[in-house]
Amino acid sequence: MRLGIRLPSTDTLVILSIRDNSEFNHDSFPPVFKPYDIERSGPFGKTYTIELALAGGKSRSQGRHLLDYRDVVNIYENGMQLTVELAETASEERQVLANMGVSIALCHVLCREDIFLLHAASIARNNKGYIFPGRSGSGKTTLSRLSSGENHVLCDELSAVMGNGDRPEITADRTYTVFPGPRWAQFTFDPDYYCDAAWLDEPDKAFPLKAIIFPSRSDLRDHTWLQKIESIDAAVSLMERFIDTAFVKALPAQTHRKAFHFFSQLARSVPCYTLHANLQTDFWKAIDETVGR
Amino acid sequence: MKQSGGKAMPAREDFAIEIFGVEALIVRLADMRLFKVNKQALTLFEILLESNGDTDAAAETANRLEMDLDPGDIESIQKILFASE
Repeated sequence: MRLGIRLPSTDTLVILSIRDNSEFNHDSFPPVFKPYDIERSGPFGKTYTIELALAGGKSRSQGRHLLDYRDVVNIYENGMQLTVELAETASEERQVLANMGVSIALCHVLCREDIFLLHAASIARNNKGYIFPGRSGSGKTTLSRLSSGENHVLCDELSAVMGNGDRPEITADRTYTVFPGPRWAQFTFDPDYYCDAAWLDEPDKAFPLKAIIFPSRSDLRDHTWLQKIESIDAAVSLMERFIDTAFVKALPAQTHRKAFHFFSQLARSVPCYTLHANLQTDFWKAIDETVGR
Repeated sequence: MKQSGGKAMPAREDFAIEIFGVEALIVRLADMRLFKVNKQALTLFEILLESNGDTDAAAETANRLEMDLDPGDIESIQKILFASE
């Protein structure tokens, strides 16, 4: 069985391949498949494969060993192929472990392509992208729901930021683009994340990033305002929201280094603010007035 | 050589550094811990790495460079090198 995700603004395809194994044909895994039409969408310049497999006793996989998580999930990298191997003994939480392992592998592939995931909502307004990084409960979903209508809510939970420096087809002023974070949950579960229904028709589109806005909500305030954040503090906050995603700490030091430099440069290049918001007010008016339309 | 709790001395490549004006951000790659420091602390960090964690040698180098150190400066930088995960 093969499912695919096309990475927006690139000619890169990531295929999830499930090694034919009776254990994976069990009713409980995976519950829902939403296959992407791989054949119709090609050709692609690069194709990564993430193979999900059940280990038969000793490890059978080849390549560099990226992760050994509690002896139940192993991830190997071999060129353009990553193998996520579940131990046969990991039967009780197999579905959770499979999704976790594949999410880590996907995160690693994205980092190789200079695409970094953030625990953040993302919204497109006037064809520009805004990201709202924040931990759970910070107001990402509320802010997203209140933003629908005149804006496109890309995702209220997981967003991807891509640097465009080495992509000459994208104009020079678009230094970074944003799009909803690709998740295998889109394929293996009914997604419970919030995004505009209209957006689902064009999920491959990416938007030039205009601002990074960290939400800080309080209904006790009588108005909403934005406060500029120093680049170094924004870099710290961005790294924290990167670490929130998919067991990132388990990835190799080389990936950590790349992410650190990426988010440091991002914080310097894109204006960053804290949104002191009373969400009963028109917070987009405050954003437009501060950031510009 | 004085080291914290007998832990092995980390190497330069175990960290990444970004400069932001008069401040710097250090990340310890093994566990992604972030440390925000000023320029002087960064210099001290580099000196301590160069001296393999030897605090006496680091203090001597700092004195030679006429750095204006506060008591405990070196120990606080040692925490970046050896902070427990």
